Amino acid sequence: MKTLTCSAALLAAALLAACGESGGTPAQASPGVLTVSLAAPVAGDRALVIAITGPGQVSEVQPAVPGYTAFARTQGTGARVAVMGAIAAGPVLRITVPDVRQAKQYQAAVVDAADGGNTARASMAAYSLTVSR
Amino acid sequence: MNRTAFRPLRRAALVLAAAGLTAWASTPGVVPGETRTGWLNVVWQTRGVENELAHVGLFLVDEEGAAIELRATDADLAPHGGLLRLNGRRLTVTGDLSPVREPRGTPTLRVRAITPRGGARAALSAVVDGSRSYVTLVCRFPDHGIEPSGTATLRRWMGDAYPGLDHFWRENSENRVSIDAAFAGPFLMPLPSTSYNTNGSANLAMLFNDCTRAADPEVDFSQYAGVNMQFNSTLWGYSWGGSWSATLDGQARRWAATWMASWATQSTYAHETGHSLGLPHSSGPYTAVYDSKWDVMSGGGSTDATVGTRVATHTIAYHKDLMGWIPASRKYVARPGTSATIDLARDALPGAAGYQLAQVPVGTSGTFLTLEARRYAGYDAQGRLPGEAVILHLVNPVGSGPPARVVDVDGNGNVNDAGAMWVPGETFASVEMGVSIRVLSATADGFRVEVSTTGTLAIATDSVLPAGTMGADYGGAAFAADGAPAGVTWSVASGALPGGLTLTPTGQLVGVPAQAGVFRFGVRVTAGNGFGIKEMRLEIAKPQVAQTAVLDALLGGATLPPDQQRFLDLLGNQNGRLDVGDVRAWMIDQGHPVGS
Repeated sequence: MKTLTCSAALLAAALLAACGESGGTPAQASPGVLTVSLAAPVAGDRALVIAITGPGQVSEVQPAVPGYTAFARTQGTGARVAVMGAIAAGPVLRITVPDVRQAKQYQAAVVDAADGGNTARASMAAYSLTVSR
Repeated sequence: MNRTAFRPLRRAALVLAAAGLTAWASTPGVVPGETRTGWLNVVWQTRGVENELAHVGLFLVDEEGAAIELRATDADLAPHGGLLRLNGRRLTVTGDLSPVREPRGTPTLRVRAITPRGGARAALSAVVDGSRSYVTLVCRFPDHGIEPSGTATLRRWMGDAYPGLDHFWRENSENRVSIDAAFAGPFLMPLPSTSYNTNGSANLAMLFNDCTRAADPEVDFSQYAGVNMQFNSTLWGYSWGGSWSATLDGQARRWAATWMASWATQSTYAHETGHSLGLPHSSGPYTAVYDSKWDVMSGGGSTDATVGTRVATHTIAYHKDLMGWIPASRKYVARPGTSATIDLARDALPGAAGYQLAQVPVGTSGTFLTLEARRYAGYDAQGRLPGEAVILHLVNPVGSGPPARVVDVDGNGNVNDAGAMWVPGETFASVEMGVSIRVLSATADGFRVEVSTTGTLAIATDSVLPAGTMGADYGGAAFAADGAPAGVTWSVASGALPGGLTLTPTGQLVGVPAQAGVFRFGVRVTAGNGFGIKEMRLEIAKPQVAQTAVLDALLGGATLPPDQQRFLDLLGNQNGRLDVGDVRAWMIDQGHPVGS
């Protein structure tokens, strides 16, 4: 019990300190660029459609790798992006958002994929994307 | 046997040599206006390596046995019916005489004018039949250690059991021709082999004269129609077959003759004896002569390990007809403007029913197509014949090259593959030739074919069809025949429609084009025995689609019109929906750099 009490006190102190730093007003948005990365690619991919959702509107999309080409369509706070090239694991897109501190609230998923013969992938279950600062 | 019979030959050789020396010594240039009279002997040269251009030698041999080689073009020969019609005839030839460079060389005469003397062919009749007695002489050069095939082997190759030539030509001629072969030798040639290479090639006159002269004490040539000369030399890579005019044992006539190199096999013997019977080469439509495995008179044959030699295939039906081995009742000749269904019996060991050859005239120049059925049987054994099919040859009987050439529609240089083989369900059609040939089915020993020649039905539809768009329903064309006869049936005769389109039997071109481009194809209309074909042109364009609209549709925006969406899917992965694979395919097609 002693340990728990102590921990709760420390947590309360930390929260107070945080409030003190903000001066009591809401934190100012920090616009910037987030990176969408492909953690688990499927070998031979040459085209993907990636759906991005998050708390703020994606204002700009750039391919993360020089050999990639990206075409984006945004609607509200969502975006769909077609990426073409010899797609490999690692950064795929760089997206400009209104507040990079909310990076963890952005989500990305592969919704369509094709190989070099333009054959559509039957399932997207194997893909995994991350969004990070 | 009769030595005196050789006196004229010896004298002739001396005369020839003297003439050659005189010409060499006093006439360094060409002598125009020379006239010679003699018997024309055509000798076909065969090289030991396949697919090399063959040489056809034309030798005019006079009564004294003196030979002169003629240089003639197709234009020189055509007025007289071509090479095969002139072979064996007595001719007077005027031309430019080239000097003999070597004392033993054969002079050459560039032909300017040919005058046939006497109408009949010498020695060989129009129909080649009956027993042909050949004597095979083994002649050895004193400077060569190469042993030609032994007498036992040669006897097997000549014999009446597989793969003997008697057996082979009996099967080819359906017992109309037999080869009765005798053997003699070995005989010693009087000169080393190098003496027989004059003007850079074998001197066939010297080889014939010296080999037969060496054998004469033991051989009564009057008993034989032909002479095979088997030498113990590679003969500089060649063997020859044809005929030679000479006086042997008191018989002044034209002898069937072969000059065989040490590398000769059964198929070489079959090939050269074929020439000695009067058969020319056949070939594909390309530059090679030994490229067709459909004919012993081209490159037909394969090694049979059971008999230890290369064994020949049958000769083609055109050649059998040339020899008179196909009865008129078994030869179908198509008339213009007709359509008929016929059964073709196989070329090898045909049954009693069906045609053995179909001949379809092409134009008015004397050229024609031949059709023959090739099935595995006898010497057309499986593994030796390229396959079982109807084979077409385009025959020009007048030219000096191989008269019969395999029709090979894929133009890939190989006349032994599918491009030259017509099997059930396939149609050969040529608007230029006015011919349509459909292989309907296989029969017990051949194929059933429909042979149609144009003439009775005209297609009224313009040859340029309304253009279509890839992905959009084509509602463009309904074919019509002049006079709108009842009961007509339409089909594609040649080439191919764009993918997605079909021609209905009633003449409607329907469907959604799945390919873009310019398509040329022949359409065929039939009504009863009437028939017509016409070549059509159809252009299918790709629709113009805006990139923003395509990407918008892909990424969840406004959908595209159905025709455009179908176009993109046809261009892409054809899975019935628009996806990123389709868009990538379209962008590549547009030349957009989307990475590889």
